[in-house]
Amino acid sequence: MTRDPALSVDGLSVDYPLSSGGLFRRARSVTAVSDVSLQIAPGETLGLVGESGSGKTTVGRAILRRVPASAGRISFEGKDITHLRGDALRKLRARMQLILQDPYTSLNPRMTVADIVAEPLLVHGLVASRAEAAREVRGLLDRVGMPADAADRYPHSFSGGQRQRIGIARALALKPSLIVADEPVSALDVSVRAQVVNLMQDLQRELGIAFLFIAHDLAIVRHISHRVAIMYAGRIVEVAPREAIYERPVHPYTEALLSAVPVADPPVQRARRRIIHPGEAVDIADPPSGCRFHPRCPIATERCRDEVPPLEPKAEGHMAACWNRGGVMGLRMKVHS
Amino acid sequence: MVTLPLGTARRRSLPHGLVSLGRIAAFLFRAPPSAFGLVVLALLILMAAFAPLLATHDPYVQDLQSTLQPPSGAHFFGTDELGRDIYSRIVHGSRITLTIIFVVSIVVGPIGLFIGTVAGYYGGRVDTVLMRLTDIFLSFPSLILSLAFVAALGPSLNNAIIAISLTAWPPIARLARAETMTFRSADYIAAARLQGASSARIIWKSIVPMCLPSVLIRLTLNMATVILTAAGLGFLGLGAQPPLPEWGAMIATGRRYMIDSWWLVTFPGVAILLVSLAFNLLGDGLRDALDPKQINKR
Repeated sequence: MTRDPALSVDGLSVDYPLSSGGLFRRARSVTAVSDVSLQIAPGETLGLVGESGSGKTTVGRAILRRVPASAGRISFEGKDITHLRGDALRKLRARMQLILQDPYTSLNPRMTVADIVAEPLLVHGLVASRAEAAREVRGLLDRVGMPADAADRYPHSFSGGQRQRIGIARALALKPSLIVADEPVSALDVSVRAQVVNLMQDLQRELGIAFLFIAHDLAIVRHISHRVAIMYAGRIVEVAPREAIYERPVHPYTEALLSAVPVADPPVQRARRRIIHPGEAVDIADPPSGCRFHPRCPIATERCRDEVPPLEPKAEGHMAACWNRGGVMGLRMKVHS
Repeated sequence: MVTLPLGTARRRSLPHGLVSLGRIAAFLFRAPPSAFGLVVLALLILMAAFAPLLATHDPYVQDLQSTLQPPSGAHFFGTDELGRDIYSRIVHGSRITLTIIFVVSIVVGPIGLFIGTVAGYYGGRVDTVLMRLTDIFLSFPSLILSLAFVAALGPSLNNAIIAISLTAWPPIARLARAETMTFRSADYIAAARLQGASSARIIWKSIVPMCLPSVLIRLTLNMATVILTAAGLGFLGLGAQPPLPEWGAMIATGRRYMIDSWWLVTFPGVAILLVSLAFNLLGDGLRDALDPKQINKR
């Protein structure tokens, strides 16, 4: 990463209110994301993986400024965007787009495909005339592999995969430099997932878009991501280049997560040992002290109970938040740098 | 495979709105009640348009030699106490009825839609203020509130229209708000917002079109009430003023001769009944025709 990152998140925390404060009550809130830092280089895909409720969607929403950050800083293309408002925020939104999870609810059923895809162009005044808008729309639909006659039809006449392509065309209309894809394929049939994922990869190669790819499907994340970040209970526990994280996971939670992915080879699958950690998934309204994984961690020590482990380098480009793994290597790295 | 491009070409040659309008009409004609509503309203419109041609007499000319004549060949529906031809007055009265309906819809629809969608979209304090305002209007019976407005403004047809409009928007606003709240959190609204669309644009381009069908249905069903309120105001002498052949006012003046000359009140009454019934049936039909779940079938 020699270039400036497209997106840089620093110590981001997000609180959701549980109940508003009354006269005699204090407002209660739950911290869905705490102290998350990550960078995405231009044209890079960062996979963000975690179980349900780990805060991965909230990170995406905070980056897109759909939910306010309660602490931390979000910079986009070198500019602090954490507190942008009004017109500046609208301009920013042209550069950052979103692909939603459910293609059945993300397209307005009463608008034609042409209107849906042209909407962002019209909002930002990027096209001068209807003819120009129609030309742009045709180009975008062609780019995502939709037939030209799709423009005049309504979303209900398309399959899930086709709808997701329309959603992608809409996201591309503004030529964004970052796209947040929130589980873009988990609502799709397995048979069309690969097509959509490959389309996203092709577009990235052609247009140099950076992706934040939020998912829980580890196989697809491995296929599309350059780097992968693992979240647990609102914190990032490990970030590393794709191969490093799948071949040499550092954090005990990552190990457990990876061992849960089945291998498409019965003998190998049978011979594999699943690492199962006892205990319940964390209640983020009342998180454990110290390392949030310590109640379930096989190698937890006294220190894990009391102190939050920082996310620190364990190998080249490989960061993890664990007191007991790779500490020596981390030290060596620090000495070298 | 050969017919497909032909079909799409033909569809494209007509404006989109006309095509869907034609489809809705075809749907309405399939069910007898809504077909009846549509036919009656079409007749009403034709009657109003060609009133001078259809009327056999001048609706204002008095003929004191032939007052209170029963229905006959010369006077289809008889004559009133001043010898005016009731048939001709009903025919001309359709213009007044249509004017009331038209003006009230044009005023009430946008007001209700605006207040409802804004309240529903923004929520919070905006919603509270607008909805309490709506509640105040809703807490009076519409005829009583119209009476109060007309009493304040002075009795005339125009003031009756204004009074009816002022009392008819709250149900529309409530409906639009409820609809808006179901769409507000939809993914495609979030997507529009993330594309940088302003709130005004989202309300206008995404939310209003979604609310429009149910508001149209509600407006149509409301028309019956509007006609009855207008007739009621006319009957009480606060709507259209005497020489005007307004149906409600005709009943009011005919009331005194009701026992001996039944035709004075019966024919305007039947006209009011038919038109309000037609609007009710059409509204029911429209509800089925515009149901989003039916769109795929059409």
